[in-house]
Amino acid sequence: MSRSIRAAVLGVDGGGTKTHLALASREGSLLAFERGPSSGHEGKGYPACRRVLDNLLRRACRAAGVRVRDIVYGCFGMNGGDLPEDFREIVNRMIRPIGVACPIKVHNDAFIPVFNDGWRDMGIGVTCGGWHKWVGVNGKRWFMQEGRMHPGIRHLALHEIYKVYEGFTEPNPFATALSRRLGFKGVGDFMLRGHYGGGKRPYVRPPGAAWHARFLHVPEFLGMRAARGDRVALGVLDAYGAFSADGVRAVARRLGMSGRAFDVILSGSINAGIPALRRAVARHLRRSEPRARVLGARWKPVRGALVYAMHAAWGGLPPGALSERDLLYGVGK
Amino acid sequence: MRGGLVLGVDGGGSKTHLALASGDGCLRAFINGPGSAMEYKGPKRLAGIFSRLLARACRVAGARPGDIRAACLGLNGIDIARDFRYALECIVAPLGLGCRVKIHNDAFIALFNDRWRERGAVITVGSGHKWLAVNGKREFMHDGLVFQGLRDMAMERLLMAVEGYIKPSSFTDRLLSHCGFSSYRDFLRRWRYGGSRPDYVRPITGWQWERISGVQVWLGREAARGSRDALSLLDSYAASLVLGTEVAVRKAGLGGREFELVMSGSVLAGIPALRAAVRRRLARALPCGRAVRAVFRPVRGALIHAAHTAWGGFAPGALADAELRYPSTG
Repeated sequence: MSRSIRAAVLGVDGGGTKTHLALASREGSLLAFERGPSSGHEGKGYPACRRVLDNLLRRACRAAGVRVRDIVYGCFGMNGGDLPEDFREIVNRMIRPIGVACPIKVHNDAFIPVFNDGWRDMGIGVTCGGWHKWVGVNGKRWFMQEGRMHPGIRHLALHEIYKVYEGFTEPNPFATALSRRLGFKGVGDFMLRGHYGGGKRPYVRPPGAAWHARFLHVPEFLGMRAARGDRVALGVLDAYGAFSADGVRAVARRLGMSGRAFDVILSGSINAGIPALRRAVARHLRRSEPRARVLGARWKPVRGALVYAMHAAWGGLPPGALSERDLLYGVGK
Repeated sequence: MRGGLVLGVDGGGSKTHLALASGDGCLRAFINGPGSAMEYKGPKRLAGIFSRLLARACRVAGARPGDIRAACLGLNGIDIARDFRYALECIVAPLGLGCRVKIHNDAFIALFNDRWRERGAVITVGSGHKWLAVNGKREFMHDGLVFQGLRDMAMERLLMAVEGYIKPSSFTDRLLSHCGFSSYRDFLRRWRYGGSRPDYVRPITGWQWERISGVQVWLGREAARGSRDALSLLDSYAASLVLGTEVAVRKAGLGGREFELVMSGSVLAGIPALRAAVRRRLARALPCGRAVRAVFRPVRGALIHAAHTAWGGFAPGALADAELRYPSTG
């Protein structure tokens, strides 16, 4: 039996590791929320990503009792959406072929967290998960950059091991604990097998495949150590927070937002999971952009896509809309 | 009695120099061969490279491997204890040398490029960087893993300009043009997306990669012209070099003692402004240290080390041959 809802908006967060696709009604109800594998074209290619979207969209439409042609607007935040040509290819090879014929907005997945808690005309989103990215919006202008010169928070943590091994700092519990967390006996073993070995030397036993998975979880380790007051961990987070704030300033300057009041939305699993990092970003940003307000993203980015779509389709969303628990960060991973 | 020869080898990532010298300080053979980085060549290829080079050198010198009294090999990729054993088994043993052989990282031999030293420190900066300090039998070597290379530092300026961290300047404009990019957008597209979007983004060309590889040389030219940005970049890099030296010197137990810091490698050899910046910073950070420029190629250091082992050293004025000098030192 199909319900009588005739119009819906579509929001998609196509990430590098997962895809969230959701439908919402004009009244602000979440009609469907589907999870699937990555739809980042860089890793999988366009045809495979199209199949992911197609599958999720069919499931969502079934769950919501709407047809694809009932969708009045779609907002897609897509991993790998970086260049104008990417947007064109995503539209032509992933979105139109699955039957979405309504007006759409296609952007990078770092764009949609800017709207996770509500529509805004001006703001900067900082996404930090498997990678980092800054996207600023100022009316119709936008600017995106990805801090390519920075090694990232995980490598910043590894530097603490390097520093100990190479004599720049004294041995410390953080470096030892991190080496062990990564599956090595200690700093020396990490350097031997993880750095100097690592397939480069046939006579050095390489680290197991699991170490790459463990490496991905370095931020959680940092957060845990920081919560216990580990000074080295706090130092790493502070350095990364400073870099994050630098990235915000770079975007603000480009969009003519410097000195103005705007929101900075910290999104992504790392920003969401490490309060000490959020505090560090806010602290560093206060010095140069005192009117900027730093907010942790409370909602999943896909909610931002829905908010954007509702704003585009109907001029906004009713109070209390999209407050379903499923859309909260950290719920139903 | 100073009969026989000594063998010196500088096995680098992009080239291998192998030389033979006699006890009177005459260079008897100097052979230029392909790269012999241990990390990237298998044991068979390595053994083949060194055997062929030694055979050529012996032919040129009119000698046999059995005439060699001592050998010193500085090899790229000798970083950890197991590398020494591996090099002995895979490189030295097949050569059939019946003499004393010293194997070390290629940074080690640069320390002796101009003369024998009981203690001292060396920084080599070429495509990578390395620090080594020697204090008698005590030594310490590191790769400065937390430091960026000079080329990366320069290319980072372009990234910062394109990503909004700094404003594009005449310096970044010139660097962009040196690397063959038509605009900042062209740079970002090729640099960041060229590899992952072959359908619609052109990758960096081979010619451009060559230009990027030569960015250090370009920086040297810019600094010579008085470019403030280039000088500032070189000064930042010199700060890393001196900080790395402080660590090596402290770990080798040289702290507070007079020592010489040998500045070696093509980048330090080719950029006077970088050497000047290192000298300036070293004088402040380690007043007991004196920075000296490596005038000779590292292979000469290997010969000097081997001669020290074989005969207690060469006579003064030995090995003054032009081919043992760094090209930029004339």
